Amino acid sequence: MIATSVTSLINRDSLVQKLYTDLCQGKIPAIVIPNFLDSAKCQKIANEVLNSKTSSGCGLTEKIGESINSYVSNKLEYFKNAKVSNRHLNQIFLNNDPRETMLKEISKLTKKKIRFAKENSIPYSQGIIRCHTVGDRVHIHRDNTSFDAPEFSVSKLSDQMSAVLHLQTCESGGELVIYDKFWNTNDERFRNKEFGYADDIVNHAHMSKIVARQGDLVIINPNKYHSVNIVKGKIKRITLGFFFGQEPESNFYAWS
Amino acid sequence: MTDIIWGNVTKIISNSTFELNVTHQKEENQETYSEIEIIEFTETDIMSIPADESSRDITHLEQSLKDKFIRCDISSRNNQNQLICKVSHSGAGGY
Repeated sequence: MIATSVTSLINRDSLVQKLYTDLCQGKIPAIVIPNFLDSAKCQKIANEVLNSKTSSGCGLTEKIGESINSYVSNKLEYFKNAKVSNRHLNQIFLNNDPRETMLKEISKLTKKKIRFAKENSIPYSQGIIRCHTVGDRVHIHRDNTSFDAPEFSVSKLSDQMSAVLHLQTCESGGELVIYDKFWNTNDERFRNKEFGYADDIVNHAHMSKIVARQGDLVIINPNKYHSVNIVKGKIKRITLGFFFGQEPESNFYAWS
Repeated sequence: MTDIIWGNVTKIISNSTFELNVTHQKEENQETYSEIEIIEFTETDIMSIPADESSRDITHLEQSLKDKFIRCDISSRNNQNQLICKVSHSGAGGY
């Protein structure tokens, strides 16, 4: 594997639709918007999270919010739990909701309206906060709701992207690694039983390593393989993320 | 203890049978399994597949199962040497 550092560090004002197109086409590994939310606000939210009740899921020790991937066989349970976790997220973000700012930024990027998705008027999970503690890592995977969860209406949206706000960074490790390789259905032969793919899937693929700072917003094309390196030190890595995708020739919707 | 295999669905054969490319086997399995097995499924947690066999068709099963990575809990072999299994989603390819 060859490491490169080809991320697009840009000023907020210089966001252009071309970057979004480049990201969709895999020409750039990520769009990183530094200091998207100031450190004090991030830390305030992170402290709220650390004092909140969290749940476990998908190999994580702590999370707030739901992920469709944990419910591909149980849609009813997903919406039931999403209702509860959306309420919890709203409490955490009371008077300081970064999701609104993130959606506005994405709207600037895509030149389209965006809002959180609903199915039959029932809201999807409106984001997921993930807390990675020392020793945690996220194995090589890709995110593709269209393939994994065709029973959910958001699976019909195209060009799924991922937006992640880094609320608190760990002392070392925890870097996001993006491999210059798109997933395709033939790769399902390399699936691990529990999560993600065999390491061989990214053999010879160039990779980019993103060391996000507190307050950075990182947008990636999650259909490219990616992973998170092992978290080191006592400080937890805390992120807020959601996916977004487009209705054909129309607006964008977000979910987690 | 039930034998378990994992793999990808390569071909739909009928309303209740498909071909599986076996990629993983549970270490404690009592039997060994071929790289390619024909699965007859009696139960599944895949929401888009109707429980009632007569409500399914091959096109529908292709949309729901083709290329998917699944887990098969084996109950027996039938007289056509097919594995009779409970079929379910396995793990997650994404986060």
